Amino acid sequence: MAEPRSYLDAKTLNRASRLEIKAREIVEGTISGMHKSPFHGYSVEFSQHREYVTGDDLRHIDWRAYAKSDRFYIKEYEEETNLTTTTLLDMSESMAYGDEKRGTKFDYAATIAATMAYLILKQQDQVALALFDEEVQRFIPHSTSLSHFRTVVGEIAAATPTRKTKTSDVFLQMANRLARRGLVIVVSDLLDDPKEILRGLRFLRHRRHDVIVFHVLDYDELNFPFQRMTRFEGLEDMPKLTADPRVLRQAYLEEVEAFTLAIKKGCLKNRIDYVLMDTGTPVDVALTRYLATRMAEARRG
Amino acid sequence: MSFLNPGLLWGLALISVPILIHILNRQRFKRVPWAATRFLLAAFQKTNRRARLENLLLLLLRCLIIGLLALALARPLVTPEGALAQVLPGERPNVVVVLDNSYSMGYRGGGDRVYDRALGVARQIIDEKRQDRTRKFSLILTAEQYVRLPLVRDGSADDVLEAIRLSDEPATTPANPGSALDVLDELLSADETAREIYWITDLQRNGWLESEIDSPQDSEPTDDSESAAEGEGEGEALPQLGLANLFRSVAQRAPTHVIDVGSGSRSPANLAVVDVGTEDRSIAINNAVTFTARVRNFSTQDRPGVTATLLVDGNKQPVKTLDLAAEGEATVAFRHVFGEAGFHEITVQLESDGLLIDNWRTFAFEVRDGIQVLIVSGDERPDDPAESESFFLSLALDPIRDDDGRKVAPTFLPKVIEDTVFDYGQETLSDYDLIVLANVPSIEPQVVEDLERYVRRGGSLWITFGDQVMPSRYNQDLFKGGLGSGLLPAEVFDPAPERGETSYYQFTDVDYDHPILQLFREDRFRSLFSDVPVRQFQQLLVMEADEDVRVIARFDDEAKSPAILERPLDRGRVLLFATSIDGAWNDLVRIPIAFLPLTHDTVYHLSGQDHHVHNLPVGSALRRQLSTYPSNKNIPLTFPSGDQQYFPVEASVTVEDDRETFSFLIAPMAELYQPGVYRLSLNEDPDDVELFALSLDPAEGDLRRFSPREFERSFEGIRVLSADSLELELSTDESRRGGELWKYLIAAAALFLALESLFAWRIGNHGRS
Repeated sequence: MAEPRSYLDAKTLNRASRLEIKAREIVEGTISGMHKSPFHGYSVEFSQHREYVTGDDLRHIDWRAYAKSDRFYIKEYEEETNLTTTTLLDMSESMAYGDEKRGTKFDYAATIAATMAYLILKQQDQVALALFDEEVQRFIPHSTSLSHFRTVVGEIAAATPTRKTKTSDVFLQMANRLARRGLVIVVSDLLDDPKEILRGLRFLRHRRHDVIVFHVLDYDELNFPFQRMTRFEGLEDMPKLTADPRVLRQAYLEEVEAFTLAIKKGCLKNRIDYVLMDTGTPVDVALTRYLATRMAEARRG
Repeated sequence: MSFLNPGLLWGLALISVPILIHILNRQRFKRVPWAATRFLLAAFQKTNRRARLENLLLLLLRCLIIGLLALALARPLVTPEGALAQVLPGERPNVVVVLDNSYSMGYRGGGDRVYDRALGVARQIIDEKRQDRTRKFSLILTAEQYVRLPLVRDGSADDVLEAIRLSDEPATTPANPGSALDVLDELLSADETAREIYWITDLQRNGWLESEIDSPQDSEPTDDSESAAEGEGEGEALPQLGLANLFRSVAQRAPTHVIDVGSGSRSPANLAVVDVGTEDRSIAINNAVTFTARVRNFSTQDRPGVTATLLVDGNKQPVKTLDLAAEGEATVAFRHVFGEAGFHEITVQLESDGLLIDNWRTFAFEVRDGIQVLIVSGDERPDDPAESESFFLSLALDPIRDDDGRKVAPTFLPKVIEDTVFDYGQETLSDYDLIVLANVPSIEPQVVEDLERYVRRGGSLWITFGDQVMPSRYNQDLFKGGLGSGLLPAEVFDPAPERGETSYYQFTDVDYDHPILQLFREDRFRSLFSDVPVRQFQQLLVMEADEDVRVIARFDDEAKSPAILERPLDRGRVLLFATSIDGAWNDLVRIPIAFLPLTHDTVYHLSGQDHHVHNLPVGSALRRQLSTYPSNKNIPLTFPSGDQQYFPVEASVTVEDDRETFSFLIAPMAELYQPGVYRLSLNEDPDDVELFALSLDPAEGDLRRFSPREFERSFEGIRVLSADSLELELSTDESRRGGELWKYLIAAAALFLALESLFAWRIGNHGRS
């Protein structure tokens, strides 16, 4: 696991606070109006003691254990934590695509991750965060503390998408790591081999995790609005291509549609929630729409 | 393929512009870091080939548009023999060749014959123009004998070449440009077909001119070389106004090129026999006949010592020389005595020059062995023949006989009958060359009709007066109101009163130029005639309106009454002698030196031949009317060339005054164009032939030409080309006519432009859809 990072540079702090505010705004302004949480936990039993880590709520320190061992232990009660949520946030280089107005896919994805974290923490469920590219680069363990949110946001803000993706490996890795069944939220552009992606997702499901895939794609990637001769410089070691986008558009859109359809179908088959997020649509609108749908389904189910 | 603006072909280099733009466009691109490259690569693989093809096509279209526009500006021409020229629609007018084949084209000036040059030019035009197989050709020959219809009308090039081959000799008639223009006018008016006209001529003035105004100072000071060739003192030639207008109208409807094939000189030297004949109307055997020939020098230089040869029936006679002034005329006379009766011909032949055909001229005539005279006497006295009205006349005409009793010259064959016998109408009038009515009181109307028919068909009537004449009957039966309605040229009144025992009338106002009085022309002889005492004469009144009457002599009475007068009546003539032919009313018979020549010359004059019947211009049709059916059913006609053709004899019926008259016509005889002598054999006797001489129109021998500039000035809108410049003109013209392509290129460029727009829109659009 990577070393804890310093969030003290101004840029990161700024990003972190903006992310936090944004997530709070979305949750307070939009989602809190919902009568019931869209997410439910699975257990109420005592689970374990674990060592105190930065950000743990002081109220959960087992003072008795401290008296005996002179160490800070946190008592983890399953009955206290209804839901264990792990957010897998893609920080591969491809997520860096975007424009100044809309921001990058990573920005968008970060907002989703932060919002979901805040939402879940607010209903006092556990939230963990894994930032990954080829492998899991950062992992923030589960916590229910609201202060944990700041840690999560800080980690996200500090992340810079630079490397290649290897989605399926990451999913396998995480499936092995997450002992308890819970909710796994994948926020990624999934720009990888769809078969591999689905294999990874299937593995998560195999471990009885409830999986939501937020498939974040840029507006440009979904609509391909280029007109002039363009040199497309492939991210993640992909080749360069100079072409007239007007000629390619039709075939490109067909490819994208085939890809998203394949992922969507795979998800549906494995009872995975698949949500295509277009960076052209504001995050709150897209999230609210999804959450409302999910609540409706929960009521039905 | 050739180009009118070849310099603009550099514009083709502009084709590189779209290629450059294409290449530059590929260099100029926006850089986008791209995440979803995998989809892009897949799409690229899918669309790459099509996209490249489309781009290439677009590039090709753009290059093509620019290339076509650049080519169009260079104005390419398709050669007419090219396959493309056959497919291209376009103005390829039919060709009309107008070939001057008048006899002047036979002129040979320092080498080539002008006509051969003209034929060469005609062939050249046709060979050049026939490369376009869609063209049709017409040929018009301008010589009078051919000009009425196109020789070939919208035929093939081969038709025209064949017609030209068959017309390898010039005609024998002058050019008739007016008729040629009429034919062209008709041809152009007949349909809407586009035509162009090539008029090949020697630019001879004859035929075009109305008049000439001599204005030497006025002659073109501008062009030295041309004025040198034109010579000094050339008059400005004015074409006939009607011809100039017609030519302009023709040229406005069809481009007209006049091609000058004439010799270099403005006035080619030429001598011509313009006329040959004799004043002697009656030619008898053993009589000396004087023939005259008029020779004209058409050149601007004097021609001294020109030799003229007389040929009688093809036999050469002694040669005469004559001096001819520049543009002058001289007459040469030949005398000849014929020993044999029948038809003869003489030819006057000049020495050779550039134009041979007008160097000789032939004259045909009949030599008779006697003149048949019928004297109808109104006062015959068998008991005292010397008192008979006919006594002195028949005595004067009585042939001189030799020792053997045979008649010798001069040969008159008089026959005297009484008027009462004549009134029976038993005489065949056409047997006589002359009928004399001497003091005949009157003539039965029925006989008057025969007599009138006889005269109108060429017979001659001589009427003398005396105491028996009944003026009222004459006026009623013979005068009939005058002006040619009857035989008499004057109204007859009572005889003038006698002047008394010692006084008498005399002849005055005598026309000594008249053939019957020519002998008295000299002053010393005049009194022989004018002093003849006339005691009495018949008063005659000539109608002023009758211009055909010629009064040859008058009496010296107050009214100056006509004494001798003559009037032609159709082909014949009537002569009146207002006093008696015996000694009753005058003393003429008592002065033999006056009486004999007067009677002889009057008979010669009246019985003389009309030489015009046997001497005709070329192009005449020979028509020979016969009163009896000839022994030859098919009449052979021998041409000057020696060829012989047979013509059937046709009977014709003419109705005059409700009386049917039968005659026999050798017809139809087509117009004959060979100059020279034609021999008509009316019966089986090979020696008994009738000759006709056909002669050229002498005007065509005047070879003076227009200068090309003069011609162009006279005929607005006409271009005159020299035979030498024709080739260039034809090839340029032809290559232009072969087809200008620029219109098609522009149209193709416009089409490709539309295609390009559509294609570009489609390419742009399928990316957006």
